[in-house]
Amino acid sequence: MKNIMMIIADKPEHIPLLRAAIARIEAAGAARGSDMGRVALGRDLALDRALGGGLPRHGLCEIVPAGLGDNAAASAFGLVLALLLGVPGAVLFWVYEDFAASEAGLPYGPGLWQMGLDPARLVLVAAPRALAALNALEEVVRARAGVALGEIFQKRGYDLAASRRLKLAAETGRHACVLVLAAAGGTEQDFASAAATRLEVASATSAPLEPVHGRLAIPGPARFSVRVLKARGEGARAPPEVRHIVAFDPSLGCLVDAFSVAPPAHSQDRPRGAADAGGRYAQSA
Amino acid sequence: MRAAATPKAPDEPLATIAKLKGAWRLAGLDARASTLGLRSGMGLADARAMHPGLLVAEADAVAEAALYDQVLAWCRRFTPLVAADGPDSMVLDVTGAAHLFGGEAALGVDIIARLARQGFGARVGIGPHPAAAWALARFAHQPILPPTIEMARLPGIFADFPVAALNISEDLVADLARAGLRRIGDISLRPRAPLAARFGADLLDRLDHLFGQARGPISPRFAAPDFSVERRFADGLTREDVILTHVGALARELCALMTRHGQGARKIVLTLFRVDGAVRSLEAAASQTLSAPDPMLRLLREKLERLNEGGVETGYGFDVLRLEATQTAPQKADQTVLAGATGSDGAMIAAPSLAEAAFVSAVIDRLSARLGAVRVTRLHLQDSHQPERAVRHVAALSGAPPVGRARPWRDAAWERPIRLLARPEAVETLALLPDGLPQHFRWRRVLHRVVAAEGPERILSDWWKSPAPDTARDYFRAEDEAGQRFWLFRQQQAGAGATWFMHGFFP
Repeated sequence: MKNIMMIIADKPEHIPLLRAAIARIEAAGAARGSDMGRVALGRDLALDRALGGGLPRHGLCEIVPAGLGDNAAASAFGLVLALLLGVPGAVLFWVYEDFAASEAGLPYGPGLWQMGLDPARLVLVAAPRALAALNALEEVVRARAGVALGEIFQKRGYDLAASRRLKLAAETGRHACVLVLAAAGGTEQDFASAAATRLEVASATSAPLEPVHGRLAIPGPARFSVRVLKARGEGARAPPEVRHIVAFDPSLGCLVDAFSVAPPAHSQDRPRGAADAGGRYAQSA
Repeated sequence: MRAAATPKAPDEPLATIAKLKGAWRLAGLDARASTLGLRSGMGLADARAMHPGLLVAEADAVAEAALYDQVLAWCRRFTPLVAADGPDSMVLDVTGAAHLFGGEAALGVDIIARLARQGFGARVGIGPHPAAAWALARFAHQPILPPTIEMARLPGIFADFPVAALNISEDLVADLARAGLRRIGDISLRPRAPLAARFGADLLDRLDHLFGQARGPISPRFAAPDFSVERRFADGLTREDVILTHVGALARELCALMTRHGQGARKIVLTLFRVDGAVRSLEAAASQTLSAPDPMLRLLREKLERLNEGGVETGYGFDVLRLEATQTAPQKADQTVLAGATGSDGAMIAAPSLAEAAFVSAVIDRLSARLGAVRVTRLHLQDSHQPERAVRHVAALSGAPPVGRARPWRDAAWERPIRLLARPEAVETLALLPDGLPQHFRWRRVLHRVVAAEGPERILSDWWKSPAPDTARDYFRAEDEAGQRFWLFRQQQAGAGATWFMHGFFP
């Protein structure tokens, strides 16, 4: 403390030294105060229950599109997860392979704003190849710079070793890393990796507003159809055949179940209990 | 220089030839050829008649220019201020640098010896100003004047030099010779007005320059750095880890030097001079001023790792390492650079800690050094209605987008896609609905059926900017059966009806 006082009493050139000292103190505090908990993606969300209480705050989460046409939905869902996993105001690094930009388009600021991401928080990194993109992702999360969203088309360089590097970097750097594997859709979803979570994302039909006067209906808010392919950790129970239809609500800042009421099922498909219950009510009436 | 590749006996003359007005003429001569009475500009047939054994090669202007640039870059090992001067000469400002090499005479000997080792013959003249050095290098027996020489003595020293030492055209030299003026002394002692009237004022300007009565500027090829530190070694360094150690020491020296002046570096250049004359420069830029050696070293390490990829191998080793700060800024807090400190509408959002902002800029610097500054970008909103012009990717190294000047993002009234194709792609439409929207469309060979749509939203191009404006576009937001949502637009083509394009994607 005496040293610092001496520095203050001295010249303004010493301000950078003070600044560095404060940065060191802050960094140490941040390292002590953080927890390795999970982040719930919404309030009372079925998807959260399937994941065992949400996604790990510091870790690697993989997203694969269900089909070739679902790349836009997969990257948008990746963006939503990256938003939810970062602390408010943190910088988001979006690392994409060049091929992804030509195939699925470049990130577009006005649309991102409407989705709830301030483009001022966004840093875009275009990598020439998948390997360069993975290296850049690792650099970002290891350096504690912010949440990283990666988007790669070539799955060849991404294996057990590469995913473990990413996962360890994310845990060391205490930031989340969301990786969209765009080419892994369809039959190539089963591959080995060290990630704790793998989600399959498809676009789901929105609930369109009613058509008027023979015109086409107007599209409603976006929905995602999410399937949990892999979820590690206690409490996670994820039968892979269940599809969760969720929507992102930018005003609430969380995911919501798109169907608050389950759709009616045909009677022969109804579970046994439901049929029994119906019979009992029929009798009592 | 094709002939240079084939081995030749040392006593065989070699010349390059160039086609001038339809005839092959000698362009450049080696030392042996110039002693045989051959001159550049002589016809090839005449030269062959005099010396049938003359080896010739066609002059390659591009390769010669590259070689010249390489030598010019190499000359920076003696001084940071190096200027090009004609096709075969260079000007080095060694003011205040000569004593580092043991004085002017030793410096001249050193330059000649090092160039000779690379295979170049050279003459060196050192004088109190560029014009004098130019004349001394070409026409003097004693080509080095002490820097302390009095200007009044120069007319006496140069009196016996030929008038060509004034760096004037050959025609003017011939005109002067016709008038009987062959030496500089012949001119300098004559009245100036008649000379200016007959030969032009330029002649007298040159004379004034030579005598130091007027100073001409020299335009250095490389900007002088703000701060510079260097290390020289008797032997070339070859091992990468040794080089890195010394670069680290240089970084510490540079930081100490800059801190003493309250400055930090925005751009640093590491120059490595190889023993055999090759020069390699590595440049790294930073988004925030660098004033600590560690981040500086990390940036340089990114570049040094790829040192061998650029075609320059370590070879015999590097004997001079120089680290320069070519762009500096005061070491002070720059609030707008702190990433994410304010939202784009100027409101404070939960500010990340100071440490985190430092981490962010460090990562931006490293990734920019590795991938190139154009690959690490931030989005800036522009004042344009045309969707592809409304957003610009700006290198993240140049800092966060300016707050307040740009239109805030939230002004975008209609729904916009989150991804935009760099170039709209043509779409094949199949059945048009009454609204004008297709019921089916084929894009990238996949058929989509539209179940819901919103539009049209008409967007006009910036007709006041481009001379031949596109026609208006009608944008639709369309959803297909699977729930994929697209941003399509229709454009009226002159005489061909409407054409449809895919432009972006909604989540």
